[in-house]
Amino acid sequence: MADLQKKRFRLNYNMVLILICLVLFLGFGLVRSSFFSGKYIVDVLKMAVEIGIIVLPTTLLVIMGCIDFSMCAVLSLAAVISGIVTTQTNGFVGLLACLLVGVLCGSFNGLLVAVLRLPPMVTTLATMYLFKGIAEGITLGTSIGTNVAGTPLAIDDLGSSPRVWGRWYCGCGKYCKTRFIPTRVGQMGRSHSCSLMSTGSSPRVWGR
Amino acid sequence: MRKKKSLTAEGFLAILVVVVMAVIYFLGGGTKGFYSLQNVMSVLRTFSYLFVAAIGMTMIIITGNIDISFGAVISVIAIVMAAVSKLHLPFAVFFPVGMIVGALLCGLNAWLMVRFKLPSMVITLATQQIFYGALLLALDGSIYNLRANWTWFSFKFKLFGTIPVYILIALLLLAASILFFRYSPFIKRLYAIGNNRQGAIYAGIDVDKTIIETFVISGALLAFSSAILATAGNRVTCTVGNNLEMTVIAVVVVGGTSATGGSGKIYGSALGALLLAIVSPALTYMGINTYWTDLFTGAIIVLAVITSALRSYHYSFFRKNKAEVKTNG
Repeated sequence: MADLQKKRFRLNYNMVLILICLVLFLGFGLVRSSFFSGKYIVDVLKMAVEIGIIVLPTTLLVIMGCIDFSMCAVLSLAAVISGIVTTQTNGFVGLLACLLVGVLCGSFNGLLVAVLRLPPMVTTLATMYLFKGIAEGITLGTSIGTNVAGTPLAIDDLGSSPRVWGRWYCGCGKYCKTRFIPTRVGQMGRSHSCSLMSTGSSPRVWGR
Repeated sequence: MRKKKSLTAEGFLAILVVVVMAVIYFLGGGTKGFYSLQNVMSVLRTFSYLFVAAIGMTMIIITGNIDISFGAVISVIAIVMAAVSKLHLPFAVFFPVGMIVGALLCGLNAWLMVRFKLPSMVITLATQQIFYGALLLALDGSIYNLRANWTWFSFKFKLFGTIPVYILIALLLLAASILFFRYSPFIKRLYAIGNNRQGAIYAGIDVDKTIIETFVISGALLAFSSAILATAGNRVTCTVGNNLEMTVIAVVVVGGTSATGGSGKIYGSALGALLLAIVSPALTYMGINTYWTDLFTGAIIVLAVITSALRSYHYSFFRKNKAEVKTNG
């Protein structure tokens, strides 16, 4: 009986998540009715998009039994580089640079993990410091404003709002991730020549 | 055969540390420069809190687990100690209280882990958020206007008026932990669990109890790191241990401990702590902006890890990979 219940619970795991979402949503809504207003809902959805896009490739990594600590670092590095490029040229080139940085960072991680067979945890921990360090070093801890007069921004509406520059970068960085992590997965997959699922079933594949 | 001839990871790390220190010495023109008393004490201070936290992390990683709530636990301990200190209680009271809090919080992590059979990464990620969140809820960000004797541990508690006693304690802990790692049956159990959990169970080891004990010990040790960090000023913020867990994990993996568990040496962690403690002051000394610290830290970790991987290149990559490529076309 207990076993059966457990099984049913596992099968309905996603349903439970949806239920929690609904309860939270309705609960907050009951406390403050303005939570149900269109503006709020759009805001919540925007945040869900930001997290959601980053989560998609992470799912692939976790299925393989890997982990990526360097995500935030790649995100800020890509954002900083794209910001600098945007101020020099225009928004479109900035976006391309953002994607390129993501691809490069992801390839570097993938190279270390797949070719040198380092554990992904160690690798991404190291590259987290590396990428974050580059981003911090370039900006010296400050932020980069792209609302320089006369700079054409072709992709104003890509991020959440052109008024909030930080958020725009976040959107950029996360858009980037969808591009580079499949690359990394591809790299790992190619050199190991085994499917995602079979890798995930044995976490020791990545061991040193 | 080849393995016997080649350096151990710890030996390599020791050489790296010596080389870095020599390079700094010669860049200083062979003068005292970097090795002034004040600078050395500052490096040893960082070493102390990193290493003492790394003792626990080394044990945890050897069992094949991880604890990413360390930073949050350090913050909680610091705030609790500050709160107890505000009740006009001396160091001899609030420090043990901090140790108990640390042991309880890390014990809670371990209990949740073994009770519900969840991965340590997931549980400690969750408790990290809970601890931080609870602190932010309970306080307005910091405890300030602490009593005059709050900073006694950092500034007044010195041997011969020069060497802070916490550095001596950290060095004593280093010696003790090396002996402990060599002779204690407890540590042997940790290696057994990390290498083969099921085998350890068959060998009659109470795995769950051992893991909880490991976490409790490391939690208690965190109080020491927390005391060094928190008593450095008259105000304790909720973010005193922010992101420290990543540095501690970095210290441990630079020290040659396998991230998947089962192998590692405590003096490796000590060397790792020393190396990472040198980076920031060395950059300042060479006139490089400290915002580049993370880049150098990352580069050092990458370098250390890649070299240790290349040492066994023939074993792990070359042969296996070639065979794989062949079989899979």
